[in-house]
Amino acid sequence: MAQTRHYEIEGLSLEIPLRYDAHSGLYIEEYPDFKANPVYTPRGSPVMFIGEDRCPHAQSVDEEECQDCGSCRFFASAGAHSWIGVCRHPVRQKQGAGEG
Amino acid sequence: MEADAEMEYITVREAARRWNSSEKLIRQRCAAGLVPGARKFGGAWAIPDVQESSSDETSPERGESAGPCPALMPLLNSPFPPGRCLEYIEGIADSHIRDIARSEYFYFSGQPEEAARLAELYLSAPDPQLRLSACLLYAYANLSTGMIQKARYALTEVRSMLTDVNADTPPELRAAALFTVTAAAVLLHLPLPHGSDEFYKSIKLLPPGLRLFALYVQAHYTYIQGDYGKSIGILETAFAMETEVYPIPLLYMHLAAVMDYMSLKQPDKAEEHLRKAWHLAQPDDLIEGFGEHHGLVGGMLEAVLKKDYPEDFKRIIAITYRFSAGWRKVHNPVTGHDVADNLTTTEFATAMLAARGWTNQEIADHMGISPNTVKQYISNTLQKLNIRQRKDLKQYMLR
Repeated sequence: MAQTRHYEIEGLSLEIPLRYDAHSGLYIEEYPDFKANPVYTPRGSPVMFIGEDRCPHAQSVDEEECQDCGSCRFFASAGAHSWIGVCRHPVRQKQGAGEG
Repeated sequence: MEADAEMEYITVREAARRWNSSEKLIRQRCAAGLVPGARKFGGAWAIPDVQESSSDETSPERGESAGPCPALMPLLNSPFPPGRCLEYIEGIADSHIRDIARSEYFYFSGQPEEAARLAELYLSAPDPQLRLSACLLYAYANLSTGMIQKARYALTEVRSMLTDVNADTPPELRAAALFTVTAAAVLLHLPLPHGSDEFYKSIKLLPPGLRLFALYVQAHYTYIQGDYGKSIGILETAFAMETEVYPIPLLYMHLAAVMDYMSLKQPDKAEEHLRKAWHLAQPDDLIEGFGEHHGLVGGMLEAVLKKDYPEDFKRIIAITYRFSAGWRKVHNPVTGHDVADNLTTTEFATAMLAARGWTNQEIADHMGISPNTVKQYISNTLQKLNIRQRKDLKQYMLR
């Protein structure tokens, strides 16, 4: 049976597959393409990968240039040991969308 | 030792008179192997009575690369026609110089075990040029074979040869020692044991092929400082002035140009130089340099070579893993730079580009893969390095 990691993000349940990486000896989370196939929380916030390219609405959390979702102040991580989270920018919210 | 019956010889005194030099310096140059054909009979040197123009080449008063330093990295210093490298090597008359050239060939064609085996024979050679060449080759070859203690030993020997030079050392020999020490340090991203200005000023004393490689080293050093514009300026000027093709220095210079242009986000120019490097290397299978530079050329090997030369690409990647493993082990921890251990070569290549501000789409376009594949590589990299932002990749990437 394939290994997965379970996420609960603002009422959204996600199962992320884990793949064994022989080169490093680590189990790596394999995320779906959230940009091509958006996934929303019940509140309508899109789930994003931390390394997704910045969008036109991005604003940096510090003085450095914002390159990706991870360095944007609208990104809320799903946890301290996670590489996914949700986008809180008002323009990107979807009313009533989400998968349970 | 019998003198060549057909060769006429002159004394040190006569050579000093002709070359407007001192007898002491002439004797030192003979002892250092910098006077071609010079032989010792008892306690006295006999110097071939060559034409004036040839003797000018050995005169220490010329500002340009004099005395040929014939035994210092002879293959690196050779304008052999691409495709005829082995033929050139077998035509070298001096057996010791031929051995060093063979060791160089083994190294530059990705056969470090054979390179180390041959170089080892000359680690204690009386001729300092042979010794310098052997130590440099032995150090790098043993990096690739994972024999790190042997690599460190050879690097220490090279540095000690520089500290042994003094005011009486012929300038060409000092330049040769500086060249060897600097090349070893810069290409391993280690601190220089001397000022970079000292090396830069000594380049003109080197023979032509080594002069080009020294410019590659200088450009690489400048790249490490982050001054990509200056680095490419050094290289493009050197390209413009080349009058002969020295395949090995030139291919390394082209690889450094790829590094610079990728850092300047000019992939088209980078690709031009990568193809020129390949054109020089492929006829003699001189692929080691491509493996050495894989992490620094921003996925260009994947973009240009992988599809059209799949078998050569696989061999280059094998060189990359082997060389980088040794490189990391010998890397000076005092610099505080960590280089990622767990990344595959492709993950590393995408990470290097991401660290330099390339978007996933730009990386995808450059490497000929989908943006989602790029994101998978970035995701793998972030997880393996346990970091949360692309900008944090820099501390794990090569400088």
